[in-house]
Amino acid sequence: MTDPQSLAEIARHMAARGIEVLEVRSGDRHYRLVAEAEAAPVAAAPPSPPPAGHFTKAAGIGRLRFHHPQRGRPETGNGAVRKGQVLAYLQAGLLLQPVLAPCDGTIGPALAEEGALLGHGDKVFAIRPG
Amino acid sequence: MTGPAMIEILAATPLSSVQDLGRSGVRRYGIGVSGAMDPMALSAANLLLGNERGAAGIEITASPLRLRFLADTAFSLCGADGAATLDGLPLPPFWAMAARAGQELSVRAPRAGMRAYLAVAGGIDVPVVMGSRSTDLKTGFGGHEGRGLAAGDRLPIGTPAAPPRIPEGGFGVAPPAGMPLSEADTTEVRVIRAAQYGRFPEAAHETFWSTAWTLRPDSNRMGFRLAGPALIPVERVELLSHGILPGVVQVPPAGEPMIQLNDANTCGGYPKMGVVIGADLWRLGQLRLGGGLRFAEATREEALAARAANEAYLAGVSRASRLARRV
Amino acid sequence: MRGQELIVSAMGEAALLCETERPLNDADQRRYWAMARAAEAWPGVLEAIPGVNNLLVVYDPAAASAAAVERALREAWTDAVYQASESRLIEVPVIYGGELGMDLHGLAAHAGLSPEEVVRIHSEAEYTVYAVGAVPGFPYMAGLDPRLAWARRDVPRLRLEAGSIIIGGVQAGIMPVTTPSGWHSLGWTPMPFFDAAASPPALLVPGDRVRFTVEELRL
Repeated sequence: MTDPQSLAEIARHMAARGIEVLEVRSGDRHYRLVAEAEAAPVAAAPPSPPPAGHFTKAAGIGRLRFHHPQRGRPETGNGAVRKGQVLAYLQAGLLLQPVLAPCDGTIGPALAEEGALLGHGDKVFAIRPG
Repeated sequence: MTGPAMIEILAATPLSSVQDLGRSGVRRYGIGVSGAMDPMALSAANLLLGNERGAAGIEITASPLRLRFLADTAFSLCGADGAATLDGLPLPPFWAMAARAGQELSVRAPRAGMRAYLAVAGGIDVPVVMGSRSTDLKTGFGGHEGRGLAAGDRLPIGTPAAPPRIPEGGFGVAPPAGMPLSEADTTEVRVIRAAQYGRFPEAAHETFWSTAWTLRPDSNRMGFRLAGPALIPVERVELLSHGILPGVVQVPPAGEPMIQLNDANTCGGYPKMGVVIGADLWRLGQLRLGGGLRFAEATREEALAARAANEAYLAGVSRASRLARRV
Repeated sequence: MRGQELIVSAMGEAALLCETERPLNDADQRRYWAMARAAEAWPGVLEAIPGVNNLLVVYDPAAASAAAVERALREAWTDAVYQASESRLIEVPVIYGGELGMDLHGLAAHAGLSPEEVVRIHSEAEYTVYAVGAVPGFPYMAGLDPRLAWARRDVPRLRLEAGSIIIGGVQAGIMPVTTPSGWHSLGWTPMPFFDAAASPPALLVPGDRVRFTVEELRL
């Protein structure tokens, strides 16, 4: 299914149905197709290596946004975060999916840039628990 | 046998009320439309949960609201950003979230925009009166006991066709373009000329289109009074009472325009300068008291294109919602 | 083009208002009622709301074009025939004067009549409901004796009780709900004119005729 013709066919179906993200698992391979407003769908890289330590990780696919489009400031204010708190967003079309704090603690520097295309498991922040 | 699922209001002001997309077909009895002042936000809130877009929700108007969910459910908040928290955990605006029985939702008065909308999976299940669950605050029927909300009120929740699967942490959508982002934002709405436009001199037209009007503090769901220069017709205009609609911009004899809105009387007789296009009424719903407002002239074709653009946004919300809920 | 004297103006992208420059008259009002009834059956038309010698038609612009609705309105204006047999006569018992008829003496003084004469003139006339609107169930009624005409108050009262029998300019009315109003109150009736739970919710419909009977006179 990775030949260009199949991909183009899938992309056409996605566009026709307004699908913005498509994930496929085939054996031990994992593919995701992301439709972008001005660009053709792209096949993304294989999954990230297993994480070590406390990191917030992307639980979806999209462009990294540090602040909500309706809010002028980033979600990570003074560095202290609570388990389950929204720290950033992954935007795909109109959809915003949260990047959540895995535990209470203090947030470290961002490990990805604003606007970066991230996928499942990609690290976004390091968290120092406590 | 248990009763319907409920939410309990812990704190509210009477400015907040149960609203859907309003009552139609009963103007001939003198009954106004009522309904959400920002129908885009209420529709988006419903679509995030897989509800019908016109399900009843709570319109939270520029004031705090706290409530407790008495059953496991899912909810969403759209419109002005009330910096909501669920059991203390901050929530973004235009966001859907799962709630467990006993959890407490708190919404604050927004710093930008005017109204936030709370939707719950299955909708607020107050009785339908004349085709709508909206509260007619002027006459006192519909919604919850025909009035604004108060601490101690218990509102029934409908049973959703399929309980929405909300992923951990919830999900949201980007707000529609034009959602006010700061208190200082000036709102612009598009206006089609109305019957008495030509009865005003050219200088009044110029003033109407170029002025940054200010929303007077005595404005409400019935109508907006605007502060600014006076618009005086060439000759005094006397009209017989006729049907009017939300969005009609009237000019009373004193010359300052007023915009009739959802809870307005169904008939009026002041000269009409223009009518705010249907697609921009939601922007008025987010205009703050004291906020700035400008009018831009539109044609019928532009009004229809704007409607289509709003529909496209809501279709996008629906797609994003289905993707997030994996349906 | 037929129906040329009818002035049709847009009220936004989804409504058209019909009126003429002719003085207020009964015959035109009957045409608007008949047009309203006809228009409600047209595809794309959502509501047709008679006013006082005018008609507002609300349509779905996705289902009907403004041009098509306007054309149909002009034709209906020419063709409309109102069926007079549809009208009902409703008798309304009134307690004139007293606390809820607080403007009876004021009107008498304004008109140069005694309060008794005002009550006699008001209760001898037959009124026609031209339109229902403004607030739920409110009838705009023609038929007021010109001697009782009285311009509205400069400053509206913040609260007029439901059931108030009122006068505003040359029009008569009955206030079905408690609300602010600039009209003058001559009396009060216990008869209910609006019930949100009833179908239809308003007692009076356009075309109905109304007579007031003197239940009591409180001077």
